Amino acid sequence: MRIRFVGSMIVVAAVVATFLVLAPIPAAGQPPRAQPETAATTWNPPRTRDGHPDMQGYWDGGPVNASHSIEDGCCDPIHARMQSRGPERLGLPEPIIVDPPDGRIPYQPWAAARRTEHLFNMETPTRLEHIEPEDRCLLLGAPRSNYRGDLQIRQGAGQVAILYEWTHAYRVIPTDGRPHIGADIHLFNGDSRGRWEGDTLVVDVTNFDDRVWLDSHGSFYSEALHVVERWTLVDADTINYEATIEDPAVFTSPWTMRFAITRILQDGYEFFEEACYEGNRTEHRLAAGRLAVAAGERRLHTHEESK
Amino acid sequence: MTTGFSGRMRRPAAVAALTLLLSTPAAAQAPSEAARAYTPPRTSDGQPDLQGIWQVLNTAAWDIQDHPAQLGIPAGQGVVEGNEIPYQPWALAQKQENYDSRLTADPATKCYMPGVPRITYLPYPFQILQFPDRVLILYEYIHVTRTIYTDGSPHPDGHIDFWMGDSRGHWEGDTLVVDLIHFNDQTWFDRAGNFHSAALHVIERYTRNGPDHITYDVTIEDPEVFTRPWKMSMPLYRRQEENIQLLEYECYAYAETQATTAR
Repeated sequence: MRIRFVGSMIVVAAVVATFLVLAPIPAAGQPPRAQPETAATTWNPPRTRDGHPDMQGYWDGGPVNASHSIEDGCCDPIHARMQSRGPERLGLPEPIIVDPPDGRIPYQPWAAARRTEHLFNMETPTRLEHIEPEDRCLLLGAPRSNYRGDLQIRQGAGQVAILYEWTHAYRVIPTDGRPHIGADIHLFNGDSRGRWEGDTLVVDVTNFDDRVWLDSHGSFYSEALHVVERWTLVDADTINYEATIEDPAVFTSPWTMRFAITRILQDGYEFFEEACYEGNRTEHRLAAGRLAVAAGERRLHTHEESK
Repeated sequence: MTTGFSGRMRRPAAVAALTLLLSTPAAAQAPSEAARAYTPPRTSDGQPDLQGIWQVLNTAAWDIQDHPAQLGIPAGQGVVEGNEIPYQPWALAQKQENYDSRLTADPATKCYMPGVPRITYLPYPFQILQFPDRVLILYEYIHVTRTIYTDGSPHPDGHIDFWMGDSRGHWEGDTLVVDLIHFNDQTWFDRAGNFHSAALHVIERYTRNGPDHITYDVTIEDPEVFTRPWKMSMPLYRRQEENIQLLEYECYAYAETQATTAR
């Protein structure tokens, strides 16, 4: 069990304790992930009735540290201390942004400024939009849901369903060639359309809601976001996941993240009901944030001291 | 606080799987008359095929019993067998209190998960997906999901306070029978204040009785609140629109935004 990121640790501990939220984490002692090869493999996967690779089962999503920051992983010094994190659990084991090669999000200048503003507000939120979407139990969309805990994949005729333990989210991905929904409908999870390119499931995601971020660090996008995911089973227990992120309103160019999704091998594993919102107390976060701002404690969220 | 389970649970292997499912008198009841005559198509592994996107067409979300119209609420004929809910005397008084304060006291007004069977008769579509060892139901309403295990696995040890209970299913002829326990006491059956305790035991029966209809029968048992088990029944209708798909109803996201904007 690990303490979830909750932003402000500046207010007194007693106040903090009223809104700490616990969240599931991958079991300790899991083997380190190998960064999968992108090259085609000669391995012949097990197949479903319709001849496509059988990816069904329970999976451990990408590096959960990335849900804090896809650029820097986890954690700021306060969280690192609070969670007694050793050096091996800080940062990211490997970069998940593989293009551009520096592993940073290619923001347009105005967008970089806005992201910095998010980092100034995240520890002392005074408005709802200062609190990152994960802490508000919002659906996290694609690709973020895929690095926020465990997945269940089920394949049926003409569709693939992905269920996430985190806040009991799900996606249904039609693979029957139907078009996207109308442009005026915006969804927190986006609208997914899948197709098979050889043995790779390619999912085109559009129709996003811009209230969702890609991580706790305020990595935002607009409703023009277009994500293309590529899911490839590279051995019995590993999916190579790749997502290309395109948003001409926010980024200077498309960029790509890549990580491995590994099968959960525990016998009899089941999801628990992850009732996130039912226990959430956003108003406490805002009250604490206002106190902290009044006390002059607004500051940039940074990991520098951890490095 | 969230229910912060790590999610990794192990089934107690020695528990006899179906004992609990089959030992209750209510489980032995037959599906309603309307559900009997039709022979449904099968899935590739031989189950009656219940898959598709379904929705009710009734007013049970407001009141599961007979009720006249009010502003914004259509009149409706109840879905409760005999129109009578057999409350214990204290519970009937509680139900009346709930009714009087329903506009703020109904947990659904807080956007909490609505429990079973209420999730079924909210006016939002849901999708059934079938696999050899489980049936998944995905609901548009606050992205609720249910995994109904049909692999003979037992309920986990408890008591566990789940909002949506723990669902274990099996097939009786062409009917999917789902046994649910491990509820919390925080959900209501409708906006009219009909309620239950954490001792709630629900048995759902899904019987396809035509190409585009499922008969949904529910038995409610709660010895803390009712004097005897009681039943509801209603049709589920297949959504016919071309390219119908589940969208989103993110209740709390909209409510929070509205509250913050108003502040």
